[in-house]
Amino acid sequence: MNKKKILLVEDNPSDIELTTRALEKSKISNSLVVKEDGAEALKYLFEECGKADYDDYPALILLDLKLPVVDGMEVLKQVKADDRTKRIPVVVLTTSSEEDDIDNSYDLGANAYIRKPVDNDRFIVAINYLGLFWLLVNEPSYRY
Amino acid sequence: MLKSITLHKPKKAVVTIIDRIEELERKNNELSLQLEQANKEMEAFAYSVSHDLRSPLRGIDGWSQALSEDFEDSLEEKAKIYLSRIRYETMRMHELIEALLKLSRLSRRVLERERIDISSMAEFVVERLREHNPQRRVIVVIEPGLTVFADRFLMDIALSNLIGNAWKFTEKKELAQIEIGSTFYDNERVFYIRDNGAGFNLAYAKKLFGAFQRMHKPNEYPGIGIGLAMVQRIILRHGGNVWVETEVDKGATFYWVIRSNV
Ligand SMILES: Nc1ncnc2c1ncn2[C@@H]1O[C@H](COP(=O)(O)OP(=O)(O)OP(=O)(O)O)[C@@H](O)[C@H]1O
Ligand SMILES: [Mg+2]
Repeated sequence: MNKKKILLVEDNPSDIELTTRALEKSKISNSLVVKEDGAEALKYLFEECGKADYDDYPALILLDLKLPVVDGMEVLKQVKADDRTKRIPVVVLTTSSEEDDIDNSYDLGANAYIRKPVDNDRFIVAINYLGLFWLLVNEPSYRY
Repeated sequence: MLKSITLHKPKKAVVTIIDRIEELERKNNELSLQLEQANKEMEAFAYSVSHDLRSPLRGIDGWSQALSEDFEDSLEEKAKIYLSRIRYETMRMHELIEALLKLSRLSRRVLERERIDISSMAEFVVERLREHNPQRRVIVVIEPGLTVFADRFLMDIALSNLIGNAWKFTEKKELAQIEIGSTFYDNERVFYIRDNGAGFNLAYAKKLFGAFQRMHKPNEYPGIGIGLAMVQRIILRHGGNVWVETEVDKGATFYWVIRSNV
Protein backbone atom coordinates (compact mmCIF):
# COMPACT_ATOMS: atom_id res chain seq x y z
CA MET A 1 0.00 0.00 0.00
CA ASN A 2 0.93 3.55 -0.75
CA LYS A 3 2.51 4.91 2.44
CA LYS A 4 1.87 8.55 1.89
CA LYS A 5 -0.21 10.52 4.35
CA ILE A 6 -3.92 11.03 4.50
CA LEU A 7 -5.10 14.55 5.21
CA LEU A 8 -8.29 14.80 7.22
CA VAL A 9 -9.89 18.24 7.31
CA GLU A 10 -12.50 18.12 10.05
CA ASP A 11 -13.34 20.39 12.97
CA ASN A 12 -15.45 18.19 15.23
CA PRO A 13 -13.18 16.37 17.75
CA SER A 14 -15.59 13.47 18.09
CA ASP A 15 -15.70 13.04 14.32
CA ILE A 16 -11.91 13.19 14.13
CA GLU A 17 -11.59 10.39 16.64
CA LEU A 18 -14.30 8.27 15.07
CA THR A 19 -12.70 8.66 11.66
CA THR A 20 -9.28 7.79 13.08
CA ARG A 21 -10.77 4.73 14.70
CA ALA A 22 -12.55 3.70 11.50
CA LEU A 23 -9.27 3.98 9.56
CA GLU A 24 -7.55 1.79 12.16
CA LYS A 25 -10.36 -0.77 12.06
CA SER A 26 -9.96 -0.87 8.30
CA LYS A 27 -6.24 -1.59 8.66
CA ILE A 28 -5.35 1.56 6.79
CA SER A 29 -1.91 2.30 8.15
CA ASN A 30 -1.08 5.51 6.31
CA SER A 31 -0.40 8.18 8.85
CA LEU A 32 -3.05 10.75 9.35
CA VAL A 33 -2.62 14.51 9.35
CA VAL A 34 -5.56 16.39 10.83
CA LYS A 35 -6.34 20.03 10.15
CA GLU A 36 -9.26 21.51 12.01
CA ASP A 37 -10.20 24.38 9.78
CA GLY A 38 -10.00 25.30 6.14
CA ALA A 39 -7.29 27.93 6.54
CA GLU A 40 -5.00 25.50 8.36
CA ALA A 41 -5.57 22.89 5.68
CA LEU A 42 -4.65 25.33 2.91
CA LYS A 43 -1.59 26.51 4.82
CA TYR A 44 -0.48 22.92 5.28
CA LEU A 45 -0.96 22.03 1.61
CA PHE A 46 0.52 25.15 0.07
CA GLU A 47 3.20 26.12 2.55
CA GLU A 48 4.36 22.92 4.17
CA CYS A 49 3.86 20.14 1.64
CA GLY A 50 6.12 19.64 -1.33
CA LYS A 51 9.23 21.03 0.33
CA ALA A 52 12.10 18.63 0.05
CA ASP A 53 12.97 18.89 3.71
CA TYR A 54 9.42 18.91 4.89
CA ASP A 55 6.23 17.07 4.16
CA ASP A 56 5.19 15.34 0.97
CA TYR A 57 1.72 15.88 -0.48
CA PRO A 58 -0.96 13.58 0.92
CA ALA A 59 -2.21 10.59 -1.05
CA LEU A 60 -5.78 11.41 -0.18
CA ILE A 61 -7.75 14.31 1.26
CA LEU A 62 -10.85 13.65 3.35
CA LEU A 63 -12.71 16.92 3.46
CA ASP A 64 -15.64 18.04 5.57
CA LEU A 65 -17.67 20.92 4.12
CA LYS A 66 -18.79 22.75 7.23
CA LEU A 67 -15.54 24.16 8.59
CA PRO A 68 -14.59 27.24 10.56
CA VAL A 69 -12.61 30.16 9.05
CA VAL A 70 -12.45 28.87 5.46
CA ASP A 71 -15.17 26.39 4.52
CA GLY A 72 -14.64 23.07 2.76
CA MET A 73 -15.96 24.27 -0.57
CA GLU A 74 -13.27 26.96 -0.69
CA VAL A 75 -10.57 24.46 0.25
CA LEU A 76 -11.76 22.17 -2.52
CA LYS A 77 -11.77 25.02 -5.01
CA GLN A 78 -8.21 26.07 -4.21
CA VAL A 79 -6.88 22.51 -4.13
CA LYS A 80 -8.36 21.73 -7.53
CA ALA A 81 -7.25 25.05 -9.01
CA ASP A 82 -3.58 24.67 -8.10
CA ASP A 83 -1.23 22.65 -10.29
CA ARG A 84 0.59 21.28 -7.26
CA THR A 85 -2.48 19.75 -5.68
CA LYS A 86 -5.11 19.33 -8.37
CA ARG A 87 -4.43 15.62 -8.92
CA ILE A 88 -4.73 14.63 -5.28
CA PRO A 89 -7.98 12.71 -4.84
CA VAL A 90 -10.39 14.66 -2.65
CA VAL A 91 -13.21 12.78 -0.98
CA VAL A 92 -15.87 15.02 0.49
CA LEU A 93 -16.92 13.47 3.79
CA THR A 94 -19.82 15.35 5.28
CA THR A 95 -23.24 15.16 6.95
CA SER A 96 -24.92 17.27 4.30
CA SER A 97 -27.08 15.69 1.63
CA GLU A 98 -28.13 19.00 0.18
CA GLU A 99 -28.25 18.65 -3.56
CA ASP A 100 -26.45 21.94 -4.04
CA ASP A 101 -23.55 20.78 -1.87
CA ILE A 102 -23.21 17.56 -3.84
CA ASP A 103 -23.37 19.26 -7.24
CA ASN A 104 -21.08 22.11 -6.28
CA SER A 105 -18.52 19.65 -4.93
CA TYR A 106 -18.46 17.70 -8.16
CA ASP A 107 -18.36 20.89 -10.20
CA LEU A 108 -15.30 21.98 -8.28
CA GLY A 109 -13.62 18.66 -9.02
CA ALA A 110 -14.31 16.48 -5.97
CA ASN A 111 -13.41 12.86 -6.73
CA ALA A 112 -16.08 11.38 -4.49
CA TYR A 113 -18.83 12.51 -2.15
CA ILE A 114 -19.75 10.54 0.92
CA ARG A 115 -22.51 11.40 3.31
CA LYS A 116 -21.33 10.10 6.66
CA PRO A 117 -23.86 7.50 7.77
CA VAL A 118 -25.26 7.81 11.30
CA ASP A 119 -24.88 4.05 11.75
CA ASN A 120 -21.25 3.66 12.77
CA ASP A 121 -20.99 0.11 11.37
CA ARG A 122 -21.85 1.53 8.00
CA PHE A 123 -19.44 4.39 8.51
CA ILE A 124 -16.60 1.94 9.11
CA VAL A 125 -17.56 0.00 5.99
CA ALA A 126 -17.56 3.26 4.01
CA ILE A 127 -14.11 4.21 5.30
CA ASN A 128 -12.88 0.72 4.54
CA TYR A 129 -14.05 0.83 0.91
CA LEU A 130 -12.78 4.33 0.51
CA GLY A 131 -9.32 3.40 1.78
CA LEU A 132 -9.17 0.29 -0.33
CA PHE A 133 -10.22 2.09 -3.44
CA TRP A 134 -8.24 5.32 -3.22
CA LEU A 135 -5.08 3.91 -1.68
CA LEU A 136 -4.90 0.49 -3.30
CA VAL A 137 -7.10 -0.02 -6.34
CA ASN A 138 -6.87 3.43 -7.85
CA GLU A 139 -3.71 4.33 -9.78
CA PRO A 140 -2.70 7.81 -8.67
CA SER A 141 -0.87 10.41 -10.69
CA TYR A 142 2.86 10.32 -10.05
CA ARG A 143 3.23 14.01 -10.59
CA TYR A 144 2.09 15.89 -7.60
CA MET B 1 -73.00 43.71 -9.30
CA LEU B 2 -71.77 46.77 -7.49
CA LYS B 3 -73.03 48.96 -10.31
CA SER B 4 -76.58 47.76 -9.91
CA ILE B 5 -76.36 48.55 -6.23
CA THR B 6 -75.25 52.12 -6.92
CA LEU B 7 -78.43 52.70 -8.84
CA HIS B 8 -80.65 51.92 -5.90
CA LYS B 9 -78.73 52.90 -2.80
CA PRO B 10 -77.51 56.20 -1.51
CA LYS B 11 -74.02 56.91 -2.74
CA LYS B 12 -72.33 57.21 0.64
CA ALA B 13 -73.28 53.72 1.80
CA VAL B 14 -71.88 52.24 -1.40
CA VAL B 15 -68.60 54.03 -0.96
CA THR B 16 -68.25 52.68 2.59
CA ILE B 17 -69.05 49.17 1.43
CA ILE B 18 -66.47 49.38 -1.32
CA ASP B 19 -63.94 50.83 1.12
CA ARG B 20 -64.68 48.03 3.50
CA ILE B 21 -64.26 45.37 0.79
CA GLU B 22 -60.98 46.87 -0.28
CA GLU B 23 -59.81 46.99 3.29
CA LEU B 24 -60.73 43.35 3.83
CA GLU B 25 -58.95 42.36 0.65
CA ARG B 26 -55.86 44.20 1.76
CA LYS B 27 -55.96 42.50 5.15
CA ASN B 28 -56.47 39.15 3.51
CA ASN B 29 -53.46 39.66 1.25
CA GLU B 30 -51.38 40.77 4.17
CA LEU B 31 -52.35 37.72 6.18
CA SER B 32 -51.58 35.25 3.41
CA LEU B 33 -48.22 36.94 2.88
CA GLN B 34 -47.46 36.57 6.57
CA LEU B 35 -48.59 32.97 6.51
CA GLU B 36 -46.38 32.21 3.55
CA GLN B 37 -43.46 33.88 5.30
CA ALA B 38 -44.08 31.92 8.51
CA ASN B 39 -44.26 28.68 6.53
CA LYS B 40 -41.01 29.44 4.78
CA GLU B 41 -39.28 30.14 8.08
CA MET B 42 -40.64 26.91 9.52
CA GLU B 43 -39.27 24.98 6.58
CA ALA B 44 -35.87 26.62 6.81
CA PHE B 45 -35.84 25.84 10.51
CA ALA B 46 -36.77 22.17 10.02
CA TYR B 47 -34.10 21.94 7.37
CA SER B 48 -31.26 23.34 9.41
CA VAL B 49 -32.31 21.42 12.50
CA SER B 50 -32.29 18.15 10.64
CA HIS B 51 -28.79 18.87 9.34
CA ASP B 52 -27.29 20.05 12.57
CA LEU B 53 -28.78 17.24 14.64
CA ARG B 54 -27.25 14.61 12.46
CA SER B 55 -23.75 15.25 13.69
CA PRO B 56 -24.30 14.65 17.45
CA LEU B 57 -26.40 11.62 16.55
CA ARG B 58 -23.44 10.20 14.68
CA GLY B 59 -21.42 10.74 17.80
CA ILE B 60 -23.91 8.86 19.99
CA ASP B 61 -24.06 5.89 17.68
CA GLY B 62 -20.34 6.01 16.99
CA TRP B 63 -19.28 5.89 20.61
CA SER B 64 -21.90 3.31 21.56
CA GLN B 65 -20.62 1.13 18.77
CA ALA B 66 -17.00 1.74 19.83
CA LEU B 67 -17.86 0.87 23.42
CA SER B 68 -19.56 -2.40 22.59
CA GLU B 69 -16.86 -3.45 20.14
CA ASP B 70 -13.69 -2.32 21.91
CA PHE B 71 -14.84 -3.56 25.33
CA GLU B 72 -16.55 -6.69 24.17
CA ASP B 73 -14.70 -8.87 26.66
CA SER B 74 -15.17 -6.71 29.72
CA LEU B 75 -18.82 -5.73 29.23
CA GLU B 76 -21.54 -7.78 30.85
CA GLU B 77 -24.28 -9.21 28.65
CA LYS B 78 -26.80 -6.78 30.06
CA ALA B 79 -24.59 -3.80 29.34
CA LYS B 80 -24.31 -4.92 25.74
CA ILE B 81 -28.08 -5.15 25.48
CA TYR B 82 -28.44 -1.64 26.89
CA LEU B 83 -25.91 -0.39 24.39
CA SER B 84 -27.84 -1.93 21.54
CA ARG B 85 -30.97 -0.19 22.87
CA ILE B 86 -29.15 3.14 22.73
CA ARG B 87 -28.13 2.45 19.16
CA TYR B 88 -31.65 1.41 18.22
CA GLU B 89 -33.15 4.57 19.65
CA THR B 90 -30.49 6.63 17.93
CA MET B 91 -31.45 5.11 14.60
CA ARG B 92 -35.10 5.87 15.31
CA MET B 93 -34.31 9.49 15.97
CA HIS B 94 -32.25 9.52 12.82
CA GLU B 95 -35.21 8.21 10.83
CA LEU B 96 -37.48 10.87 12.27
CA ILE B 97 -35.02 13.59 11.38
CA GLU B 98 -34.63 12.25 7.85
CA ALA B 99 -38.41 12.28 7.54
CA LEU B 100 -38.54 15.93 8.61
CA LEU B 101 -35.87 16.72 6.09
CA LYS B 102 -37.88 15.04 3.36
CA LEU B 103 -40.97 17.01 4.33
CA SER B 104 -39.12 20.30 4.23
CA ARG B 105 -37.72 19.41 0.81
CA LEU B 106 -41.23 18.85 -0.52
CA SER B 107 -42.27 22.28 0.59
CA ARG B 108 -39.26 24.01 -0.87
CA ARG B 109 -39.63 22.49 -4.30
CA VAL B 110 -40.85 24.80 -7.06
CA LEU B 111 -43.89 23.22 -8.73
CA GLU B 112 -43.53 22.29 -12.38
CA ARG B 113 -46.95 21.40 -13.62
CA GLU B 114 -47.62 19.20 -16.60
CA ARG B 115 -50.34 16.85 -17.78
CA ILE B 116 -49.77 13.55 -15.99
CA ASP B 117 -51.32 10.17 -16.65
CA ILE B 118 -52.15 9.12 -13.11
CA SER B 119 -53.33 5.68 -14.22
CA SER B 120 -50.02 4.64 -15.69
CA MET B 121 -48.11 6.27 -12.86
CA ALA B 122 -50.14 4.11 -10.47
CA GLU B 123 -49.37 1.03 -12.60
CA PHE B 124 -45.65 1.70 -12.17
CA VAL B 125 -46.01 2.12 -8.42
CA VAL B 126 -47.88 -1.20 -8.19
CA GLU B 127 -45.26 -2.89 -10.36
CA ARG B 128 -42.53 -1.72 -7.99
CA LEU B 129 -44.50 -3.03 -5.00
CA ARG B 130 -45.02 -6.41 -6.69
CA GLU B 131 -41.30 -6.67 -7.40
CA HIS B 132 -40.48 -5.98 -3.77
CA ASN B 133 -43.11 -8.34 -2.39
CA PRO B 134 -43.47 -11.17 -4.90
CA GLN B 135 -45.14 -13.34 -2.24
CA ARG B 136 -48.10 -10.95 -1.83
CA ARG B 137 -51.33 -11.62 -3.72
CA VAL B 138 -53.07 -8.33 -4.33
CA ILE B 139 -55.78 -7.60 -6.86
CA VAL B 140 -55.33 -4.07 -8.16
CA VAL B 141 -57.88 -2.38 -10.40
CA ILE B 142 -56.96 0.97 -11.91
CA GLU B 143 -59.37 3.11 -13.90
CA PRO B 144 -57.63 3.91 -17.20
CA GLY B 145 -57.05 7.41 -18.53
CA LEU B 146 -57.00 9.41 -15.28
CA THR B 147 -55.02 12.61 -15.74
CA VAL B 148 -54.11 15.64 -13.66
CA PHE B 149 -52.18 18.84 -14.29
CA ALA B 150 -49.56 18.61 -11.57
CA ASP B 151 -45.91 18.26 -10.64
CA ARG B 152 -44.75 14.82 -11.76
CA PHE B 153 -42.08 14.36 -9.11
CA LEU B 154 -44.43 15.26 -6.26
CA MET B 155 -47.37 13.28 -7.60
CA ASP B 156 -45.19 10.21 -7.80
CA ILE B 157 -44.35 10.60 -4.10
CA ALA B 158 -48.01 11.13 -3.17
CA LEU B 159 -49.24 8.15 -5.18
CA SER B 160 -46.44 5.92 -3.95
CA ASN B 161 -47.40 6.68 -0.36
CA LEU B 162 -51.14 6.22 -0.83
CA ILE B 163 -50.75 2.99 -2.78
CA GLY B 164 -47.97 1.85 -0.45
CA ASN B 165 -50.31 2.32 2.51
CA ALA B 166 -53.14 0.41 0.83
CA TRP B 167 -50.65 -2.33 0.06
CA LYS B 168 -49.29 -2.42 3.62
CA PHE B 169 -52.58 -2.28 5.50
CA THR B 170 -54.11 -5.12 3.45
CA GLU B 171 -51.18 -7.36 4.35
CA LYS B 172 -53.22 -9.50 6.77
CA LYS B 173 -56.13 -10.04 4.36
CA GLU B 174 -56.64 -13.36 2.63
CA LEU B 175 -57.53 -11.57 -0.58
CA ALA B 176 -56.23 -8.02 -0.73
CA GLN B 177 -57.97 -5.63 -3.08
CA ILE B 178 -57.01 -2.13 -4.12
CA GLU B 179 -59.01 0.09 -6.43
CA ILE B 180 -57.89 3.38 -7.90
CA GLY B 181 -60.49 5.48 -9.66
CA SER B 182 -62.40 8.72 -9.86
CA THR B 183 -65.85 10.03 -9.11
CA PHE B 184 -67.70 13.36 -9.09
CA TYR B 185 -68.25 15.38 -5.95
CA ASP B 186 -69.79 18.85 -6.07
CA ASN B 187 -69.14 19.03 -9.82
CA GLU B 188 -65.50 18.32 -9.29
CA ARG B 189 -63.50 15.28 -10.33
CA VAL B 190 -62.28 13.51 -7.23
CA PHE B 191 -59.74 10.72 -7.27
CA TYR B 192 -59.80 7.91 -4.79
CA ILE B 193 -57.86 4.89 -3.70
CA ARG B 194 -59.82 2.20 -1.88
CA ASP B 195 -58.57 -0.90 -0.11
CA ASN B 196 -60.16 -3.69 1.89
CA GLY B 197 -57.52 -3.68 4.62
CA ALA B 198 -57.29 -2.96 8.33
CA GLY B 199 -58.90 0.47 8.29
CA PHE B 200 -59.03 2.42 11.55
CA ASN B 201 -61.37 4.32 13.83
CA LEU B 202 -61.86 7.78 12.35
CA ALA B 203 -62.95 9.20 15.68
CA TYR B 204 -59.38 8.91 16.94
CA ALA B 205 -57.77 10.15 13.77
CA LYS B 206 -57.88 13.88 14.38
CA LYS B 207 -54.33 14.56 13.30
CA LEU B 208 -54.01 11.75 10.78
CA PHE B 209 -52.24 13.92 8.21
CA GLY B 210 -49.74 15.39 10.65
CA ALA B 211 -46.16 14.14 10.84
CA PHE B 212 -45.57 10.94 12.84
CA GLN B 213 -49.29 10.27 13.46
CA ARG B 214 -50.12 6.57 13.34
CA MET B 215 -53.25 4.53 13.94
CA HIS B 216 -51.48 1.17 14.17
CA LYS B 217 -48.70 -0.26 16.29
CA PRO B 218 -45.28 -0.49 14.70
CA ASN B 219 -45.02 -4.23 15.37
CA GLU B 220 -48.33 -4.82 13.57
CA TYR B 221 -47.58 -2.61 10.60
CA PRO B 222 -44.15 -0.98 10.32
CA GLY B 223 -43.68 2.69 9.47
CA ILE B 224 -42.98 6.00 11.15
CA GLY B 225 -45.99 7.98 10.01
CA ILE B 226 -44.58 10.39 7.49
CA GLY B 227 -46.39 9.15 4.36
CA LEU B 228 -49.73 10.89 4.80
CA ALA B 229 -48.07 14.09 5.97
CA MET B 230 -46.19 14.18 2.67
CA VAL B 231 -49.34 13.34 0.72
CA GLN B 232 -51.23 16.16 2.35
CA ARG B 233 -48.48 18.70 1.78
CA ILE B 234 -48.23 17.73 -1.85
CA ILE B 235 -51.97 17.93 -2.42
CA LEU B 236 -52.25 21.25 -0.55
CA ARG B 237 -49.43 22.68 -2.60
CA HIS B 238 -51.50 21.89 -5.67
CA GLY B 239 -54.45 23.78 -4.18
CA GLY B 240 -56.31 20.58 -3.45
CA ASN B 241 -57.69 18.53 -0.59
CA VAL B 242 -57.32 15.03 0.72
CA TRP B 243 -59.65 13.20 3.10
CA VAL B 244 -60.50 9.69 4.16
CA GLU B 245 -63.45 7.38 4.83
CA THR B 246 -62.76 4.29 6.87
CA GLU B 247 -63.89 1.90 9.59
CA VAL B 248 -61.95 -0.64 11.58
CA ASP B 249 -61.48 -3.78 9.51
CA LYS B 250 -63.59 -2.43 6.67
CA GLY B 251 -60.80 -0.97 4.60
CA ALA B 252 -60.06 2.67 3.85
CA THR B 253 -60.78 5.05 0.98
CA PHE B 254 -58.57 8.09 0.52
CA TYR B 255 -60.02 10.85 -1.67
CA TRP B 256 -58.12 13.71 -3.19
CA VAL B 257 -58.76 16.62 -5.53
CA ILE B 258 -56.24 18.73 -7.34
CA ARG B 259 -57.12 22.16 -8.70
CA SER B 260 -55.14 23.18 -11.73
CA ASN B 261 -55.94 26.89 -11.66
CA VAL B 262 -53.64 27.86 -8.78
N1 LIG C 1 -54.84 2.43 3.67
C1 LIG C 1 -54.82 2.49 5.00
N2 LIG C 1 -55.49 1.57 5.76
C2 LIG C 1 -55.46 1.63 7.10
N3 LIG C 1 -54.79 2.56 7.80
C3 LIG C 1 -54.11 3.49 7.12
C4 LIG C 1 -54.07 3.51 5.70
N4 LIG C 1 -53.31 4.54 5.30
C5 LIG C 1 -52.88 5.12 6.43
N5 LIG C 1 -53.35 4.50 7.52
C6 LIG C 1 -53.14 4.86 8.94
O1 LIG C 1 -52.59 6.16 8.98
C7 LIG C 1 -51.31 6.14 9.59
C8 LIG C 1 -50.41 7.16 8.94
O2 LIG C 1 -50.07 6.77 7.63
P1 LIG C 1 -48.66 7.16 7.05
O3 LIG C 1 -48.57 6.72 5.64
O4 LIG C 1 -48.44 8.60 7.35
O5 LIG C 1 -47.66 6.35 7.98
P2 LIG C 1 -47.12 4.86 7.89
O6 LIG C 1 -47.55 4.21 6.62
O7 LIG C 1 -47.53 4.19 9.15
O8 LIG C 1 -45.55 5.05 7.91
P3 LIG C 1 -44.65 5.58 6.69
O9 LIG C 1 -45.58 6.07 5.61
O10 LIG C 1 -43.87 6.68 7.28
O11 LIG C 1 -43.86 4.42 6.27
C9 LIG C 1 -50.81 4.73 9.44
O12 LIG C 1 -49.89 4.39 10.44
C10 LIG C 1 -52.11 3.95 9.58
O13 LIG C 1 -52.42 3.78 10.93
MG1 LIG D 1 -47.24 5.17 4.76
